[in-house]
Amino acid sequence: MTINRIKIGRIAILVTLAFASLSLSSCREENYLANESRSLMLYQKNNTNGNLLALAKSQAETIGRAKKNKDLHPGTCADYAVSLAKLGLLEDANKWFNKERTLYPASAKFVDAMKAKYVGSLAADTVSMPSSLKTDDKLLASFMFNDADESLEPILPDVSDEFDDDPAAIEVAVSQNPEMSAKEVAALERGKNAKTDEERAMSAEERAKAKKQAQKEKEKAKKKAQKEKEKAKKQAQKEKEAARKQAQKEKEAARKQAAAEKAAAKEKAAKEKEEARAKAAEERQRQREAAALERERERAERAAAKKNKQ
Amino acid sequence: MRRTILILVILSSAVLSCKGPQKAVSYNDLYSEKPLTIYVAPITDNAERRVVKYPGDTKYNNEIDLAAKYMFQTAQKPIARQGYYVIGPAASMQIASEETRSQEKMMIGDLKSYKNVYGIDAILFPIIHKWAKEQDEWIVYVEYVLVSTTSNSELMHVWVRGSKLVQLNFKGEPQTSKFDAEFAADMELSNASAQRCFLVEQVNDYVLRNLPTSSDRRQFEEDRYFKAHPSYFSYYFSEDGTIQIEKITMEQYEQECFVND
Repeated sequence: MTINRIKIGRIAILVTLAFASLSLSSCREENYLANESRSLMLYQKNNTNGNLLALAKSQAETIGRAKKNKDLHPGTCADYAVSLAKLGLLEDANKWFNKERTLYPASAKFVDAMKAKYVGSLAADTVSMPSSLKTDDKLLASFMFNDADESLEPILPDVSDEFDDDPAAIEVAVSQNPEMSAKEVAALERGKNAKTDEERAMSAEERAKAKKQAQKEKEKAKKKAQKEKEKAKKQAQKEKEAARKQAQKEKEAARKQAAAEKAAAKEKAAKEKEEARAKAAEERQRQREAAALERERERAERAAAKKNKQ
Repeated sequence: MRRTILILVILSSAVLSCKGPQKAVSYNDLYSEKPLTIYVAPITDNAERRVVKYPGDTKYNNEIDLAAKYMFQTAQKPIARQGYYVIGPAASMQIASEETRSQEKMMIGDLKSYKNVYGIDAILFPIIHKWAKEQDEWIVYVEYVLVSTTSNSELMHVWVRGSKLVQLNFKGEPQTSKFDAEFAADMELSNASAQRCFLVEQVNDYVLRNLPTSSDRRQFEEDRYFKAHPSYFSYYFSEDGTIQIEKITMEQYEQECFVND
């Protein structure tokens, strides 16, 4: 009987332990931080400038990396195919679309729709697969001048903004302006030459020396400024720390004082309460004694009255 | 015998403390519809931008713009891990460029054309409502809606208050924490942008990896009795890298997100 009971107890413990471990594992919060490549962010940065070429290149790199790690996410090949199609590489795009469909059969309808939109007549080819990734710079650069299809979006990166604040670029633009007269160009050149007269007088060695010297001085000044900045930063941090400590000390002192006051008030209240309680007890005692005296007096009166009657 | 009863009591209390809505209840429609292909719609960013008066305003606007873009790009991976076929961000942008309706109209409108043309089974609409700051915490209020293209019904609807502890230096700029320093360097982002991007990625990941395993995998329906996220909850990423999840009420969320400034 006892052996059976022990057996049942053990089985019950095992079953409950298994059940509990299962349910606890399902509700455990795991601190997960994705470690995959963050190249998508760079695509976005480039994409804002219409840099489709850089986008395709980084997509190819991602696929290459994913292939190595055997962690190719769905949609990656299709994304790359879209970029290639936009670059005018329709044949390659078609191959990558096919690859996507082979890897993820769920994408069949989506891939067909994208193929119909981007690849045109090549869409009928559903067999050919890509052999290599177009990661080579030169190879991609050759596509920049691909003008086979006029409907394609501009491939060259938009660099118009880069020239806005660059004085050198502006100067180049001015000197190459065909509307400038020969006189104006000559005057511009003269102006440039007048500026460099002193330099021309110096020998090449001297110029190199002066340049080196200037560079050294510049570096020294830079270092000095950096040191001063760091010093100021440290000083500010120290001051801040000291102020924080002071404030903390004051806070602590105020807290202690408040605690002491609170304790004193509490003690006082307790004392008063005790006193009131003692007073009340005394009063009650007095009342009790008075009542007893009264009762005794009444009893004596009643006895006296009885005696008188007799 | 006494010991057995005691163990049973302890374990049942432990199990009860983990009790929450089950996936079978929260994702009932998703289990029955068995979607396979998911398309993530571009982020609806309702967060208020600052009127540019000072350089700091432009900086702030750029930070939250970047965070919204990053949120869109990191929404695909957690869904793909659950076995769904998710359309990549570049192709998604192409699909989105062909849509003439606004995101709000799409959410309540007919989405069957997506099923017919692209074979998409469900569309995820991520919405950023607000960015806020409370002492040392940076907060983002987001909403995720997964809508079926077969029945136009909601398969998932979650509101999240995501927050992260951000230590500021004496200039009032965020200090680098050990978790996002490397991330900021990799992405060539400013520290403030990195903090925001890091937060939205974490929230994305936490919310979307709770989706049931896709019907394409043999583990389908094995997670029916696993814990699902509540409809309204707060997600807090602390300084030491731990996550604290707390269920909040609809009133509290709406008060903080839509009423309080």
